Amino acid sequence: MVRKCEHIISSKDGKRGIYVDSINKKEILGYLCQDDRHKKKFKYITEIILGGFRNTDLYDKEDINVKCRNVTAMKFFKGQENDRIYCREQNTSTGTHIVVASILYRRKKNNELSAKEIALIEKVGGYDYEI
Amino acid sequence: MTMKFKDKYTVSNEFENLFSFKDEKEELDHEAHMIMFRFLSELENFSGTKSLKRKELSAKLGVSPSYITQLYKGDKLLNFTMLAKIQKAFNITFEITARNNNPSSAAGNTRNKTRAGNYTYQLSEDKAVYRKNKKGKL
Repeated sequence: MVRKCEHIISSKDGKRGIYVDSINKKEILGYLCQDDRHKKKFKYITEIILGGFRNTDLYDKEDINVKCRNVTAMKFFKGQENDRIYCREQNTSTGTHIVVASILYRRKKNNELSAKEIALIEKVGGYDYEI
Repeated sequence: MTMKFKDKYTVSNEFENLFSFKDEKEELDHEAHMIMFRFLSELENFSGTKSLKRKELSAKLGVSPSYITQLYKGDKLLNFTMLAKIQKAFNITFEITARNNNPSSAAGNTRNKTRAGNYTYQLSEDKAVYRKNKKGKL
């Protein structure tokens, strides 16, 4: 399924970028902008992605099966609200590594993935963004 | 002065508000966390992908697993004593590199050289790498 997305931020060398799904943009931005606490966490996650740093408590792969090899999750307040923004990673023809914030999922309850969560992650894995 | 998001990255106008800081205190706090995340990222890379469990790490450092989680989540900040403990526990040394944010300005590098006189000084384009000299003087 080809979907549209919008540019949020990218590194100056153009090698990494973060985008947001056009359809879910309003919901995702509403979530991120709701207060300083959420904005602060998003700034950390942004710099971790753009800097290519490793921090699995804030951003990690969700490649639970072959259908979702390129799915990742931005993790907000692990152990508290436990919200997630599931993302699709893809590379452009020019070699830019893109992370698209696709779907917001609030209050992940357990460490184990529920059938609903697996379905959601697989859904994101099936997205193909036009960049 | 710390670098703002707009200086470091290309931000679409519509989303500028997401990356703004209320004041310098907030900006410096963010930068402090990013410095910590670089150390933690380096530690994870060094320790191997999945091999380093939180329990093992906390046991090595003599702290609780929840403290380690708080660090990785950005809820707490590392201090230099803890960094020293990490270095000792893993028998590693973090190499520190200072880079001028404005590559066209050489003045900053010259000042750094004077300040860190007991270190050998190497310049590679806009990058200054400090290493302990042979005598090991600080």
